[in-house]
Amino acid sequence: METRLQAIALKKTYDATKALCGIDLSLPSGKIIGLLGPNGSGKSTLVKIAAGLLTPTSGQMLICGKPVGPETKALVSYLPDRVYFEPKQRIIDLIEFFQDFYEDFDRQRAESILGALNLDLKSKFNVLSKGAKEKVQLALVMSRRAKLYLLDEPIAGVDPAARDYILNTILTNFDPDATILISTHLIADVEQVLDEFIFLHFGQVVIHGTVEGLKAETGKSVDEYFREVFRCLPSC
Amino acid sequence: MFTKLLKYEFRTVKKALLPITVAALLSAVLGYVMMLLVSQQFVTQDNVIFVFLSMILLFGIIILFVVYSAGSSFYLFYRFYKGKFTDEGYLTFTLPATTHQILLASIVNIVIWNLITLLVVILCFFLTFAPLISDLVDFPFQVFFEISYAGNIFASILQILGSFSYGIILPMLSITIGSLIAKKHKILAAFGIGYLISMLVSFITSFLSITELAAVDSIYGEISMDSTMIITGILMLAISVGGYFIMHYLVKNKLNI
Repeated sequence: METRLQAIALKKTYDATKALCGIDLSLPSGKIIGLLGPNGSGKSTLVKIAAGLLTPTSGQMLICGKPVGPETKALVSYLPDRVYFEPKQRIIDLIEFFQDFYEDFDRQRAESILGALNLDLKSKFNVLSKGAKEKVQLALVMSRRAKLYLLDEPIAGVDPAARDYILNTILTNFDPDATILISTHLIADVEQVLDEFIFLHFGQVVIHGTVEGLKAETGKSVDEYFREVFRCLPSC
Repeated sequence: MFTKLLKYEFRTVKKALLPITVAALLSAVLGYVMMLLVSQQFVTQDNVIFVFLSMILLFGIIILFVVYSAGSSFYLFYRFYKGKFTDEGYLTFTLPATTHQILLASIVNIVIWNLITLLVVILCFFLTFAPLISDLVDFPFQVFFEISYAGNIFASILQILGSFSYGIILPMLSITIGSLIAKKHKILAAFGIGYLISMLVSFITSFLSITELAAVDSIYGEISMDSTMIITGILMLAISVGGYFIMHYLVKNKLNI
């Protein structure tokens, strides 16, 4: 199994605030991994460094063995926790944009996912509802045949039906050779799709394990275990 | 990758600037017709009101050209801010492109649109005033050669290039610094930074000009503008190049969106 993401003594500080405190992490290929932790635990910072949006204060982040840069950005498909497309673009323009910039973009897959949403591809992005915007973004991000998918809070702020749609889209478009890292604090909703989980707290990895192993060892779900672990740790 | 970035930068700006460019040109045509009517048989005692209204309309058209020119410039830098330092930056900076490619695509796009705006404004003025002043066609060349008197074209070109590049890099650098240091009111911060940098540069250029002029005066007994223009031109080019690399460093290492 190849390593898709590797963090070595990774640190990130914002002024006096320590967001990541020397993280060591290795994520294998072919897994869906939950990056779980309370708000402010450093989840988004870790994901942003892997996506190439932030530069670490010290330490190293490797994607498929390469330091983060234009080369790794071609391998990583990143979904931020917000609406990030230029609002006046039409959906068809966004498809063309992705096709132009990403060699691994599968246009047929994108049109198939978007077709299931009954969206007019000529619609402007800014006229869509918040849920529809998030679905379009997810559709485009998941339509890349990337090595590593970084999904930052993909189900936050959408209704339960949309959550099911999003998780289903993730599962049905999951390439067994790829790795998906889902950052979220809505553990109960994503737990069903996870192979592994990482608990992050105050910028440190508290636990990194498999969902099956956890169940076998403790008989608890990830959500139950999360509540137990974070009840014992100092509050944020 | 650079070409693709430039294509999308250009396309995004085109959506907003093309309609107002066409509007400016149409206004110039309207201005031309008004001026033609005013300059010919209509200037008589009987149609003073017509002439008065035409002049007001003409004044409005000139204001429109100025607003078009300033507005285009402002919009170009606003797009730079939106595409890099707001949520849209999440897309821009996760593209498989280097920071140099991303910044240079923006700079080239701004240069292209600034040149288009300049040409359109010149064309609009010529079109509007053509019926009144036929000699106006020679006007920019006269001005240019008057500035670059005695054939000192090199100094003039250097000065123009320096001012042009400085006028593009300074706002971009100010936006970059403003966006990185301010958590809120980033545009306001960018204006503040821009003001401070331009004050500093003005102080330096004034100081150098005075020193240079004094030196020339003491040696030759007369003042030469050429050396001052060359010095300020080189200084502005140097500041632009330095500003670009500072901007590149900040975006590459300190970006936090």
